[in-house]
Amino acid sequence: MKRILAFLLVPLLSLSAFACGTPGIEIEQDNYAAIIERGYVVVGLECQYAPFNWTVNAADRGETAVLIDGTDAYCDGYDVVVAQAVATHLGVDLVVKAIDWDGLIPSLAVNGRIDLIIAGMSPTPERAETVAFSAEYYRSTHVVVVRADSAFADATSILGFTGAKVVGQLGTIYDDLIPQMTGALHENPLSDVPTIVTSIKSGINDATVLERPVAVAIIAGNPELAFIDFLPGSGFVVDDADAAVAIAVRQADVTLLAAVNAALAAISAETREGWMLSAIDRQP
Amino acid sequence: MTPSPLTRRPAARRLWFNLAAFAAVVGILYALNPDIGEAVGAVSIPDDFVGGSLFTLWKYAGLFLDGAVTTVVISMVGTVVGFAIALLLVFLRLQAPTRRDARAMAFLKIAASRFAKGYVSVFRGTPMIVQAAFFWYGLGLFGDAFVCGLFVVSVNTAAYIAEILRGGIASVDDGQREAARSLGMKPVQAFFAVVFPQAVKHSLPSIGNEFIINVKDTAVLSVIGIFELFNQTRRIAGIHYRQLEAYAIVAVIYLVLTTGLSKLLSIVETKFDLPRPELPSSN
Amino acid sequence: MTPILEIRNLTKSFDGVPVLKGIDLDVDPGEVVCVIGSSGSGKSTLLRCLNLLEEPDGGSIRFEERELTDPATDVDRLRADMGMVFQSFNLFRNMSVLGNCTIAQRKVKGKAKAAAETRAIQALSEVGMAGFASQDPAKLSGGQKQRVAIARALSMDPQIMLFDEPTSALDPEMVGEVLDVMKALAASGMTMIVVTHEMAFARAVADRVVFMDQGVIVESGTPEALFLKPQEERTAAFLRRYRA
Repeated sequence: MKRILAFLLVPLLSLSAFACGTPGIEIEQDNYAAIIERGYVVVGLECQYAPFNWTVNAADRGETAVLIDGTDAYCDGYDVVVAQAVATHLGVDLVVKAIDWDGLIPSLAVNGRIDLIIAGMSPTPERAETVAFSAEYYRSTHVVVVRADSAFADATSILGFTGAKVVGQLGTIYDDLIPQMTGALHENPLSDVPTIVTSIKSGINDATVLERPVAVAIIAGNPELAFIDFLPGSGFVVDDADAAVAIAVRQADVTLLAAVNAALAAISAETREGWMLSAIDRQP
Repeated sequence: MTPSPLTRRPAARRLWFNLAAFAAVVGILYALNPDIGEAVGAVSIPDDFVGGSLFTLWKYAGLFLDGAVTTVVISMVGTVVGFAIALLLVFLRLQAPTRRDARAMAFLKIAASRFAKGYVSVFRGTPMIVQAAFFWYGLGLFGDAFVCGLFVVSVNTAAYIAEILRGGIASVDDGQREAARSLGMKPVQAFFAVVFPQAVKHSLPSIGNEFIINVKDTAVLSVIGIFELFNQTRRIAGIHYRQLEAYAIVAVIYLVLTTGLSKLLSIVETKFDLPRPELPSSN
Repeated sequence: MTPILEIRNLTKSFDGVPVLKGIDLDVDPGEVVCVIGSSGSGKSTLLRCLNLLEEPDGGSIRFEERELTDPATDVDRLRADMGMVFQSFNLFRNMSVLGNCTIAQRKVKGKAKAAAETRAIQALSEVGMAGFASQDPAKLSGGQKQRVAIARALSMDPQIMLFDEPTSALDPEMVGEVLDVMKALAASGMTMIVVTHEMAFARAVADRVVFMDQGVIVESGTPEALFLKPQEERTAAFLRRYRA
């Protein structure tokens, strides 16, 4: 009987033995020293938001790609290049975790599973209530993506989408900009950009709002889609914070934030644009 | 015994039918896109569906395979560990006080039985996606999503297998227990030597079904960021912003996995002379 | 001679319906007692109460000088000395014939495998089933199953054998082989209580026949006395119905 009990208990106990251990991080404290001591910094991103970040095969990866933690796949893109520059500046290794968009901030601020979010995230005031943001590391204009053969492909102003079904990504600036398209129908937001692209291709929706580099990446694999640039005055009115993307850190990580800003300050505007152009070029 | 030509003929016919169906599918694909070699070798993804699918499958076969392996491993380990937990649950569930028990013992037995009953209700009565999100994001007990996923699948499957085992035990004729007791065996001896092995044998096909159900249902673990087959496919779809092709491929992969494993289990069942279950549906 | 089994004022009811209304019965060592009566008379319940498969409501059962209904008694130990044969055989389906005859020897008596198998083969020989030791019980005929069930009980070297309608589930052509085994067992001096509908067997083998009706023992006596000169009208009526 004792043998049987032991047989039953062993798997249970071994399960509970696993049930511990976040990677040495205290949410409420400044973890700079701990991260340097540990020798690696953990960066969270989606790996499905080209050209900022996307997934790539081991076989097809370029020099800039980094292994996604817990998988055999790699992540490449503008964000990864920036992350590498930050890690190099800190003098630690770079570890990349692929996390869904709505899981990024909880993973940083609640669970401490990552140290930085470098995921094409805009430093909005709402997010700044939970996390702290670095200086911006990219800035772009917002465009509208439509089917190339749709009636809206010829629009020249964001007011030219009357009756169009416009969808944004859940919890992003894109979704917040849609109300500016007076006359358009604001659809319920979707969880990720690939799903939004599919919904436009299949005719469920007519248009979406995206940053220009992302739109370029989408058109490369989907020639039946097109994007519309707007002249100044006829495009979106975007807060300064929303036009930029920045790196998110935990609010208590003041030292880390300063180091990240120092790393970003060392990258010139020309270098940034060059990184973005080559990311768009590399994107398969 | 050599099978007579009469019994062999339907099997041969089925084989020919399958080959013909396979050839037809290949033929249709070829008709839609004759440049298969060109599609798989292309530098960027071809615009059409068939070409895009072939390109995606060819180029990202390794990623699909990684995802499939993770899915099968989680499902298998989850089912095995779930079975072990289910044994404990059933043991607790079957505790019933007898007239000869002291009051404290009777109380313990009732508590154990209630606990097991409550466990089964909670884990069968809530979606696995909620359980996964609860343990990963909510409690945050785990440092590793894969371990958390294994835990969730195990504790979830345990609830289902516990009910299967309970049904299996109930299906064993009470005469078996009585015969064992009449020979002087203690209740525990009668249970583990006679009743339980028969119950497990009856339950094995249904437990195999739980494994196949897990292959499909572990897709919900993408919510905690495990790179099982479905989550891996989402990333693949994001590379070129082409979901249709990626999801079509993954649907076929899931189908091959579940039908293949079903076939494998049915071979095992025939070999060990187990009763055949119905086709598995989702939890 | 001291009785091996003494039953006093045994009562049992199911859901408030009395099934045994105060049974008194003594069985001497080596005695063969056949219990007859119509369905529902309580004879099977009586047998099942003797080894506490059914817990009696009241009364006493003394077996080998011990009180079975006393909570302090190790019932499992005493059950090992009371072999029981069921109407529906109840052979363990997850074991071979040999496994059926060794499992309890090993679990209850702690015998080594070889010793248990030797005793099992001996018991199987007594019932003519030694050649089937490695068989799966499911592949046996009803008569063969019941003979194995008897061997399984005998392997435990019981002091008394309880038979609960051992031939009622059998096809008529298989009844004979089981009854022959039981006759041989009776001839070897085994103490037996047999609940049965086989009147010819009771007449030929029993030292004493007990007639039960509606939860009480109506009459008991030698086969000749009970079958030929029943003292009670109920006994006579039962025997008439049976012959007709």
